[in-house]
Amino acid sequence: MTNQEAFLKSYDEHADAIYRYCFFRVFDQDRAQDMVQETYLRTWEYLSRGNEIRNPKAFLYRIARNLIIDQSRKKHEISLDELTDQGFDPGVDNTERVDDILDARPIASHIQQLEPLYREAVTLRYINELKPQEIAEILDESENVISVRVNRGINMLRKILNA
Amino acid sequence: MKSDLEKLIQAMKQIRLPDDEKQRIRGNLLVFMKNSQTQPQPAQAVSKTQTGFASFLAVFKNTMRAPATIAIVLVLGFGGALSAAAQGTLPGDTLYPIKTGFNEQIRAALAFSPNAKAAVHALLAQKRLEEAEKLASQSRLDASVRSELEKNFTEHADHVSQGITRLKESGDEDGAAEVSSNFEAALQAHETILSELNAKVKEQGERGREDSHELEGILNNVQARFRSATAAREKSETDLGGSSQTDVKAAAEGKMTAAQNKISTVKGFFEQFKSKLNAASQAAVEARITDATDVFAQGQAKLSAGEYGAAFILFQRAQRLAQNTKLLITASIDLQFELKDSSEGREGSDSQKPPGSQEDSQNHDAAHPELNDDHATSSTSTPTTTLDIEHRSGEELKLKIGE
Repeated sequence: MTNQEAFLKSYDEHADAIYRYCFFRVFDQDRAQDMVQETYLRTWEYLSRGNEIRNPKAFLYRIARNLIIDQSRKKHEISLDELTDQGFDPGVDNTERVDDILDARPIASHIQQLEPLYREAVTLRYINELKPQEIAEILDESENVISVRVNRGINMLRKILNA
Repeated sequence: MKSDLEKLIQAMKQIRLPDDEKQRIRGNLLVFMKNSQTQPQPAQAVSKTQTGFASFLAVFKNTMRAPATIAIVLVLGFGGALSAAAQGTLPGDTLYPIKTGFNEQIRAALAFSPNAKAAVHALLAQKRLEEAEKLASQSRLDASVRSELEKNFTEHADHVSQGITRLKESGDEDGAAEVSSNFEAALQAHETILSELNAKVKEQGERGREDSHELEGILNNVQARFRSATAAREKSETDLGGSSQTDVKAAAEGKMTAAQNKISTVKGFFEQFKSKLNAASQAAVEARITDATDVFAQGQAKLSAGEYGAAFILFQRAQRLAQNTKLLITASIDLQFELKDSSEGREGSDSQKPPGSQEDSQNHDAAHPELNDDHATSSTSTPTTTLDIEHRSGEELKLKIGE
């Protein structure tokens, strides 16, 4: 198997999961698709610089997560690159939609009521079916913290559903 | 019998990449990877006992080392050194072809949603204008270069228009309004910048007059685009009125957030770079920011009153004002010209002026009947006129160009 084939294999295996993770953060199909692509592009670029990746799955989730965080920050922070020697960025800003969630799907409306921290944990555990240990690695927290978060999240979700 | 929770989780698990999209991304990845390697890589047998990246990684590290290939890899944006170096280049610079021929095309190809696509084209259209402006300020804008830049600008601007049409056709009035409003703000800013720049270079002798000739060509093009962008945006705003009340309310609320963000962005931006502007420019910026804040407040009043359509229009206008200001700050510093305070004349042919501002512009007109308030239609008069404008507080601000 060539490098490319192995990389593509990981795409075939994990792209859906990464998509699911991104979708339940941004609730927008197109943007979630953009993010999946961006995640893999950056991963390839990272590899092509000669870096090592110990845990490919965790790496992919981490990159995706960083992308999501970056995008939601962009709304509020001034990009310091704006006036560097590398030229303007006129700042045509289409990231306003991150929190502008008006999805008609009933599932979205339930899961959205969960706070982001818990939503993420529950999604990774039950939708992406990752083990607490894997989640801990991705989020850089202890396994304990993750288990607690997942349980609290699930309980909250139950309450929301029964409300 | 499944619990609600189980049903919910089951439903969420059903979310997946549509097959065609999954394949499309896969194709893009292939292109990306192929362009990362200039030499064919020999197929390497990989031990079946290893899993994940570890297997091909061991192989990978041995093959992907040649310095020349690394250079090409880094071209592909996303932080690569060469690509970053190409970003600020102008026509005539060595790396410029990488910027337009590669970075930008990949970026455009990678945008998925119609909104993102239109936004990328709007960005690229603006980049062409910026390049022309920079070249002119460096006395490097000759006819052939200008012609190329203008052609490219026109292509991208056309794509923006098409994108807006597509958004409307798909029922996304909201998205269409946003794209056209953003583009309108940018075009207006560049119209201002090009006029100021034109006035400046005209005074720089023979070479200056050549640059000026080229600038005026672009200026006319931009003004035409600005007028049609305004018309498109106004139509979108009218069409939005045809949507259901809940939809318009949601759109207005969304636009409120957007406008708020834009205003605080430009405020922070101003704070950050204030010291690089002279006093007059600072005052001009502050006046513009006050304007945007005022319009925003008007929008909030409309929102509370349940007039969602009017609120949307006002919020969108506040957003444009803020965006326009930000672009002008950047250009003022980068191209070194002073910003002037043009009071209510700024919004140009905006037929949606909220009642509050009518008084101001009437007084303004009374004081200066010869002054054409309508920024957009001033194209028929020479755009290089030096305007003495009475500041709100009564002081006179003469227009001074550059240092």
